[in-house]
Amino acid sequence: MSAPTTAGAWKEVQEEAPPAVVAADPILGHLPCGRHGLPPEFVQAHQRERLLHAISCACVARGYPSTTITDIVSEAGVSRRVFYSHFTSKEECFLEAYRMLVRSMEGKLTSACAAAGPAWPERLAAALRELLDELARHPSIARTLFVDVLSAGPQALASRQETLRRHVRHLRLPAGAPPELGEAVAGGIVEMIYHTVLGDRAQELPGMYEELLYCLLLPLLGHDGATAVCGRVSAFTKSSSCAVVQHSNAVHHRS
Amino acid sequence: MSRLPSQLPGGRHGLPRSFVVRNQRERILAAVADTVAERGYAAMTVEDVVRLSGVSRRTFYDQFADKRAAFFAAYDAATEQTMVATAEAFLSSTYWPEQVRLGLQAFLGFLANDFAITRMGFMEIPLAGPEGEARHLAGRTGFEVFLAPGEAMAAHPIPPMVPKVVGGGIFELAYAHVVRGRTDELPGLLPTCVYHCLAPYVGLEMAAREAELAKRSLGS
Repeated sequence: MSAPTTAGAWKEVQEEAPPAVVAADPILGHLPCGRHGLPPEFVQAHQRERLLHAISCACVARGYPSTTITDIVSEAGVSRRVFYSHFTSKEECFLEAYRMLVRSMEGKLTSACAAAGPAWPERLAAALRELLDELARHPSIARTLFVDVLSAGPQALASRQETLRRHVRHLRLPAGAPPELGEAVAGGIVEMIYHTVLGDRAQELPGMYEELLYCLLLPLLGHDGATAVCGRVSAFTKSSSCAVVQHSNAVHHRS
Repeated sequence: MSRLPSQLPGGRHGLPRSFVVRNQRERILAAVADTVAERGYAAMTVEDVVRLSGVSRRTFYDQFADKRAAFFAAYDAATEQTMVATAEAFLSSTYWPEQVRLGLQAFLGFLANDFAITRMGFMEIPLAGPEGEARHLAGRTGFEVFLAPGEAMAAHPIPPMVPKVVGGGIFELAYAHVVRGRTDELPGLLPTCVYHCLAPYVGLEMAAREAELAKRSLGS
């Protein structure tokens, strides 16, 4: 079995994005060589961004522990010297890439929550759905966030714990539940996502949404509460098609 | 070199070959666990293991292809020991909620007492490449067996994902403590773990009652 080449992994990431984004996104292209009149700060920022994306992609191909600086710079199309002008080590580069991806993902989850209205179980459901959809769209990001971070050193682990704790605060614990329950509940969902991403099945995550949501809500609301929320949420997401069905039923009844 | 207490006598000792091999293997596995706990998997060398276990290089390579193979064997042995400790406690009762409490108590206590096992099982195994990750996963899913009897107590059907999510949650909670350097505080997680394991099966009220019992058992 041969591992996919880093170039192959990078290509996959490019293909995931719609073409319009590729053209507009300076990160995905190299700058022109030679004298180009671009300000040095711009060039440096551009290189940094490329390195941050490159480490994520390089790790997809070989896993974090086996990925070398050489892999990262060849993925990014910059020299080793440029790498070391931005980062002191692979760990530092990964940590920044991880934090960048977390921030970007959290932005998306926040928007999804906001669109879901004020009720917390609905907001939680919307965030979970968005997370699963995003991970399925970008398997390389899924690997960075859920797999590679585990082997990227103590700071990366600490950052992962911090991220988890931030999200756990959004969970409402039932009366009489022990204080760390939120961590265990969120941890179970993270673990399921980890299993799936580790098995290169990130694209199956959206299909697991309803069952995952039920598992997430079960220890917080009990079976009846969890079932009710799952029913409301799935009715909401299917509302457009449901409306059509109800409408046609109504027409059928009248005739 | 001086002889280690666990080392067998040198020369002709009349001990059966299989006994010698097993003793050597156990010493190697213990040395791997200790070296990994102290220095981490990446920094561990076969020389470290040979020195600490008191076997020859040749004996090491008779038993293991390389350091990775020895590490995996040590991980498997540690997982098995944790499993045995949990299962023994679990089987000392016949009432499932109590079995869960006793099993979890033994599980958390076992991990808290063995820094080498937690470091290896939580922190180091993902560093050993895809095979390490696969073992990591298999090691964890093995504990789902203790949740299966809960289905008979549940008033509603249990989807297949439930035991995976419940087991994963216990693992993540323990893992978070190990990462923060609070391995010795693991036994204090008992009420949370009990609630987390029972609530999906027997409901929130009963889970809260059992968690309260677990909390009281901590104080005693």
